[in-house]
Amino acid sequence: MSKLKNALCCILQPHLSVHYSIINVMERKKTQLGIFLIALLLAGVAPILFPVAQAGIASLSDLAVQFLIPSVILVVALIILAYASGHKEAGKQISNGLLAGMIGTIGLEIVRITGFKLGGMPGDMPKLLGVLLLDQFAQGPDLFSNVAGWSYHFWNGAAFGIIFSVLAGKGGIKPGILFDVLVGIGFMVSPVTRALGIGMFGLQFKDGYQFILTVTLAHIAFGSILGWILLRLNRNAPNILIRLKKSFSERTV
Amino acid sequence: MKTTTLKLSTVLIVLVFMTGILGFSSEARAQSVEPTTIESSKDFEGTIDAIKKAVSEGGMMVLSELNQGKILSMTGLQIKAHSFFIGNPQVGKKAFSANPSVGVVIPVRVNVYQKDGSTYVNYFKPSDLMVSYGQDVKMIGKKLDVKLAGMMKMLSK
Repeated sequence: MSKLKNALCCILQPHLSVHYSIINVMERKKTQLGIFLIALLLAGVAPILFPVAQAGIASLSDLAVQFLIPSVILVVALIILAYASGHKEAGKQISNGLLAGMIGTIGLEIVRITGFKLGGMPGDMPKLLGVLLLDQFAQGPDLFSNVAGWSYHFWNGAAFGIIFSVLAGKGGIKPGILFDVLVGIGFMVSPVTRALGIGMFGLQFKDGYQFILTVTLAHIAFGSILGWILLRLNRNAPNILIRLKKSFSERTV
Repeated sequence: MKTTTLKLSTVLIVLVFMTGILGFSSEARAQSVEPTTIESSKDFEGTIDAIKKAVSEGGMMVLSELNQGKILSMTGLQIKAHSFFIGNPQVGKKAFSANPSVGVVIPVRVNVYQKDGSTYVNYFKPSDLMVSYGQDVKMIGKKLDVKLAGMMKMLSK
């Protein structure tokens, strides 16, 4: 009897360990997918707040306290948690997006500032964001509001970087440009342009093409930098569709 | 038939004439309300400080400020302009009790701006803006005129 038991154990044990390792891998992939989805949700908070405020739903300063600051803290916490819980790949992909987005914003700013100086923009966006964030429109911009505005603008860039990194994985320059031109279009049709008094796509500003041109060029600069950096940093990272496919196909095995 | 045509043309002529008179009179009325402008003896920043002091000494309060120059700097325009909203809780209480719609006129708006190197202060006389209100509100407007004139004396050259 004991001989039979020993024999059964010898036969089943390798199969059981394989079975448990498959379950373990599946669990890990599910957790990783969860991390990516949470990252997408949290990164989506910051960029949507300015249009929401400009639509007259709430003030940007209130939205910053209630949503922006918590979302920034949670994104950072998510990256730390991902690393700490052994999901280094997920943590790296999110932080790569954050970094690439911040660097991409420098490119966007070079084009935007040049465009603004040449009269291609109706206003200095980070300064406007700053006075709205600190609820001091009547006093106008100062050092603190400018720092707040620039920080929010760079965080927006970082947030779009995270979204692109999670969605596209290793991405590339062309997908980066496509992604960010779509973001630019979203901005140009958002309530922001209406509130600035220049109409959708800024068609009521000057001859009607200056705003579109500046915004599109700035977003092409952002997208190309973002795509180029992530192509190098996220070398083996698949896009979200492949991740979802893998996750679902393994679930059905 | 001929009489009807004549009558119609007469009515039309009268209508055109009346519209012209009304248009002219409303234009004339709009032109009559002009801001009171004084040239300040101080520079722009000095005038801003002096207004705050004068408002306090004149028994009024700066309820709000609008740094128009700084706000417009966000559009790339470089100018020096600053607006004050000046009022007094007691005057406000009286005016709003008499007519709650008076908020379109008060608090009084005083504007400081720089042009060709000189600093100017301008405002619309409250009594001019309160002409369509009742006597009680008009009286408040006249009192505010006196207060503002006193403040401007402290600033003028």
